Amino acid sequence: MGTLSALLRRLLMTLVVIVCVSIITFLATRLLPTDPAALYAGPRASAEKIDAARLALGLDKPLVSQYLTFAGDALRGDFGVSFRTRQPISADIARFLPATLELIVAAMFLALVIGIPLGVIAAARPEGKLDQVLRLFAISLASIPGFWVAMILQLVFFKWLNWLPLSGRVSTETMLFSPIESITGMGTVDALITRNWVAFRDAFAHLILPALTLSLYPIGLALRMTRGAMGAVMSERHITTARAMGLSQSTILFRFALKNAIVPVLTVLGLTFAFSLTGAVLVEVIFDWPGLGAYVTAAILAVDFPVIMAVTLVGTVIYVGINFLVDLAQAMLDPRVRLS
Amino acid sequence: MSYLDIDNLSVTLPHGQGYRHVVKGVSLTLNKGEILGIVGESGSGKTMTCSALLSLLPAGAHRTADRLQLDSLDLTSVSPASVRGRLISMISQDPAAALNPVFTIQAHIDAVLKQHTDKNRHNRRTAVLELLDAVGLPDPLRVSKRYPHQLSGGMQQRAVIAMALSAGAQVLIADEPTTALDVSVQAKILDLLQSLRHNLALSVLLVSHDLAVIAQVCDRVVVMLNGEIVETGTVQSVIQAPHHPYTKALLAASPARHQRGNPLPTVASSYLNSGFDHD
Repeated sequence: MGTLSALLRRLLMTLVVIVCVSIITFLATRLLPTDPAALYAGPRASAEKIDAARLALGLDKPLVSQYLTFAGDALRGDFGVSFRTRQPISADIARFLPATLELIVAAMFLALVIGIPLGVIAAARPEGKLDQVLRLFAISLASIPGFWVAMILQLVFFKWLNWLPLSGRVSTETMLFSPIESITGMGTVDALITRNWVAFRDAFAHLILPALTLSLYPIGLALRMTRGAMGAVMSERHITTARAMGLSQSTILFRFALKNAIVPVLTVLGLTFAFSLTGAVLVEVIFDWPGLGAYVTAAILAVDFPVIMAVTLVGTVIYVGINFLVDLAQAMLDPRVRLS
Repeated sequence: MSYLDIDNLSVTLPHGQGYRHVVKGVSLTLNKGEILGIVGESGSGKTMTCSALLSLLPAGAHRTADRLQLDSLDLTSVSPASVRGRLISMISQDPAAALNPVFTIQAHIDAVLKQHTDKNRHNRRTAVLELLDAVGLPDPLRVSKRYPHQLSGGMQQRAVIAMALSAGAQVLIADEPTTALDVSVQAKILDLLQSLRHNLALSVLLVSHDLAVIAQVCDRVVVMLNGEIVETGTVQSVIQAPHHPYTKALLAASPARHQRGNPLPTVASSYLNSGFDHD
């Protein structure tokens, strides 16, 4: 089977997953005992107003045609308006999603460049001092609550040292005197593209603490996963062969062994990435970072169906997209794996 | 003057509270361009003897020797890094397991060249093709781009040998190099070792439990039992007139000498573990 046809099949499966999730989310909102029309009409609406809302939302039509309308609109990027704010949801997501993505990408980058090398170093001498220290370190990172770390970081780096800003995405000065032109919606990226160095410095400084907080769990996870996978690889015969041929310890660890061990690490980091899309609420709230997590939390509390459905769908698309990328990476790293 | 000279080599491994001897005072010599066979069954210390030469012993192992000398170099006084691959290389039983599944043959040999030589990328590429050609692989360019699983067992073992010799090692330890291969392929790999010995004056320590393999290519042979050498001599003298009862028993158990219809003799278990602290 050719790589291309396998790729297409994989893409097709991805589409099927997205359609299934859209059906499930749609049905869930319709099957819940809460009446969307009543929610839309507001808390003190009359019966007539609720009926009018029902007509306006098309809730009187059969479920199938309701779904088709919903899916068709969603395909065009139209998720309707929020029950709570009456704002178009697409515009909201376009604003909040990039902020969250910027945060997660930064956190995952830290996990890759810190967690994985530390895992490799830990595997160099199994059960050695460094291995034990790093294991403890990994467990601590993965188990310390993020909100606590966030506040400690704020205390140290803002209040005591005053090196980094407390919260937000950019400072007021930057907003007034060197505003960032929005292209991707990710502050640091846009500042970089437009070569707005003053704003870049500022946006970057704002990104550090929340990204660091969000990265602690994935760093610990990547460290442990890498250590575990490396442990298995290092006892394989080809590592002994590499030793017998005189390859240096660093070549063996970081080149020959790591390429064998890295796939499961990338898989879990991919899952963590997807989870953080809506799971970074605490970090977003503490650092006043206008992201998707805080947005969807508010929507859930208000039973704001259209928003919940839209965010779920967007999350699904990103989730399967990341998984697809991880599979691609796996196929590229390991010639024995063929996409299927 | 022998090329490799091992005198009174002992290896101990930690065992429970104490330790146990897995190699007990082994002395042997290997001449330039000679193939020396080491026979014995699993646990007889063959592999440990070889690993000791490359300082590739398991954690906690302890090595002592009155002399470990290669040419005029004292192996006990130099770092393992300067020995492995440059002076002595080792290939093992299963070439499929000895090659890293996610790297091409090119990448394997290139890594060794990069480690031990200062050739640039272009020269290394040429050297890889020359090495693959030297070990008798057809179409070196195509083979160099292959991953291990895309090659047959015989081709894999040739690639491992090319890798082992790429940094100019003059001694090759071949630990059961043909055991995992088909009989027809086995013969070809043994032929390759023969031709390398003739063409490059390569010295080979051929570890095997298979007397037929030993008889086919070795000049001299040592027989190991429970960490000790019990018999040593030319292949002919050892096979035709064995002295030690264990060697006799080993030869009697060889299927080649066996007459159809009689039960195949086995080596009496009394030879094993005699005075040997086994776990």
